[in-house]
Amino acid sequence: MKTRFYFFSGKGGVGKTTMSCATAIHFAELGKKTLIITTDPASNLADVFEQSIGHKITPITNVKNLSAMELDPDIATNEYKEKTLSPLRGLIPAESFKVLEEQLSSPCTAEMASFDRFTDFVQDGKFDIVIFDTAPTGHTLRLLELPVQWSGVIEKAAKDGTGGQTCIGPAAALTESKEKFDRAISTIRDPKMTTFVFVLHPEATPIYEAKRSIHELTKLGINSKEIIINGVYPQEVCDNPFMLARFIKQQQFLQSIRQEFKILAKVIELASGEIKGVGLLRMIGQKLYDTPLLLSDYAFKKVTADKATSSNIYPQINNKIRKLLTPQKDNKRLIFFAGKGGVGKTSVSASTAQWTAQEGYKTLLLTTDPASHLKQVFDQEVTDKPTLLKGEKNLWFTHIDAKAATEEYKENILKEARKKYDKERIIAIEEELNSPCTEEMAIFEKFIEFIACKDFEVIVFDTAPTGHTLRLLELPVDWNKQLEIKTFTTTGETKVDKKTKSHFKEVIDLLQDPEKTTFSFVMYPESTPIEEASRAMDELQSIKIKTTLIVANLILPESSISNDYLRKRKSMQEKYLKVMRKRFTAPIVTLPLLVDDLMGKDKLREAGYLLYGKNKVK
Amino acid sequence: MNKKIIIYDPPMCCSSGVCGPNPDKTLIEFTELFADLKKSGHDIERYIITQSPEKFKDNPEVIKLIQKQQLKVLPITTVNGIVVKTGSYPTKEEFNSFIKK
Repeated sequence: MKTRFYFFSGKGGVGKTTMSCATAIHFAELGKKTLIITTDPASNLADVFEQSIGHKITPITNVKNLSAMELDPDIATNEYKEKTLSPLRGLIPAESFKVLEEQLSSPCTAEMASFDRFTDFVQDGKFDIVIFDTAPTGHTLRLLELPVQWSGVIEKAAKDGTGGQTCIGPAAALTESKEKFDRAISTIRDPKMTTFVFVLHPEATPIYEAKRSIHELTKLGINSKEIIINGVYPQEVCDNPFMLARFIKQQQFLQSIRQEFKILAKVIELASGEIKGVGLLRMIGQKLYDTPLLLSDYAFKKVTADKATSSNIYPQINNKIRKLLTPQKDNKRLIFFAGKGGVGKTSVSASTAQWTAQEGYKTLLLTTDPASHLKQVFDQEVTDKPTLLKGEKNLWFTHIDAKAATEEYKENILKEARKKYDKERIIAIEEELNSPCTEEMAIFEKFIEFIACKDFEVIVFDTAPTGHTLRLLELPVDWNKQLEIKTFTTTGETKVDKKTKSHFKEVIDLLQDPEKTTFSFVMYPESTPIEEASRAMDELQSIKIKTTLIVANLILPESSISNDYLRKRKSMQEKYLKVMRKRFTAPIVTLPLLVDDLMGKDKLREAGYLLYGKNKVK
Repeated sequence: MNKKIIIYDPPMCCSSGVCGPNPDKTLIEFTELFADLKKSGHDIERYIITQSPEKFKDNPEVIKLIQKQQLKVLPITTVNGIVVKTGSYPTKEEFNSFIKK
């Protein structure tokens, strides 16, 4: 089966670039004129093909029929911003100009700019095969979901004459491009034209996320999907109890993928080192297309292992890090863990909360993880009210249902609107509320409620707002002004308005104070995750929020290294840990790859010790 | 003779403002009013500064106001190119008076 367009999706670090390059080389060598486009900021296409590429279509010299392009989302966004705002440059005051620029720095603009490229290639017949190595899942999903709404909005706006303004600034130009977008949509829906490939590791969170993404795509009428399960351990390298235990886990996940996903799934075994160079990629291409190992044919290996014991050594408690985790003076301590999905933020947050509770601080763990998962982790019901963890005196936990919070947020607005407006108007407002920023905003509003809570000395959050959201809240003209308008144009200023208005400033002051707030990034030591985290940190820095702690997760423990394969992987991790130390000024703590999932408070406590050390006295 | 009314909107991501952290009721109401007026055949347009900057540039009076008072002067309402209201959206009554005058 072969289509003209391929989209690769999956979290940063799962091997998307590798799989899409392998696919590109495969088709190019079959004689097809092939183009590969990456939007990955950590793209190593230049390394892979040993030539510089950049933000333009570039023929690859050592692979016939192949061209590549590194679409830089920043350049694309800036191009768009410049194009849009140039009429006003120099005409209006610099301060006002800056506000306009920020408005256009939304994630929507970047997505729009990238998607625009795709629509260009749908029309352009120069290539037989076009492969998109797209950015991570959430991003990709919205990117694909948007045009479906857009064409609706544009049609409606044109009909009822509301001016054609949709939720996304960039959509301004779309009225003219509607036809182009319609064609793009029907192309991505056509299974003869487009294939969506999900790349994932056999782990719990990625499986859950892939399921959700696939469901979303199905809802959008996109049916041609495939899975590549990357990073499956070859059995022969699992020659010690630790690795054997990991191997058994993976086999279980593979089995559940086979049961739950009814689409084509291919298995690729984990390579010992980084896959670079055309030769290695050609080999992966063969494994994907010539002699694929299908999950439906995969022979599960039943092995039994002795109980693996991890002999991890706790680090010494570092006073600098201790200060970051505990309240200073009479302040409360807020700890945020940021990072992409699947890097272990919830586990790290729970272990950190367990550690500060152990240190004697009344701690609240606030998470957006699904309640069902938390229930398993703690073996106790989780609700939206802080609950004391059984058998502990300092550790409380609560859960924000992201989906419910978003629905509630939307409902609050729609409730008012429904009283007054007709159905068509309500649908339009609903569509505007489907903006990607809504969920983040809804969760952040919930966070604000807890931030004010005086009952706890330490509050640990398993997600963090992005720089973009915080900058929006900080903008002077933006929301505050709209609130001011309200105070004199409508009589009934609601309590919420007043509360929110005073809170935003307060909260941002609080987040900018390193004596009170710790921003930490969780990642694993590999190229793409490091790049992604680094960009997110820069964004936070733009509103003067400093990242003060870094957690490197999934470090292979010394005791598990029993053969060359594992030694190679270990030295790759060492290399990237070095990169992290050079790149980031914040102190780095590490969490080793553990034999079992972090379930139950004993395991979490152990993980806390592994991260931050253990007090001798207690 | 129909008068041409233009509303110059502040930067926002959508015309009803609902995607902000605290959606503005007046804005939603205004959007509704605007749609009604448009439907009943009035010559009325709306431009968001981040989406149609060239329309702002076309009216020197609007640019002058922004130069003096920054973006807080928005929204601006003009009738036949002349500024009639700044800093907030006109009400239905105000609209009626603009049209009649």
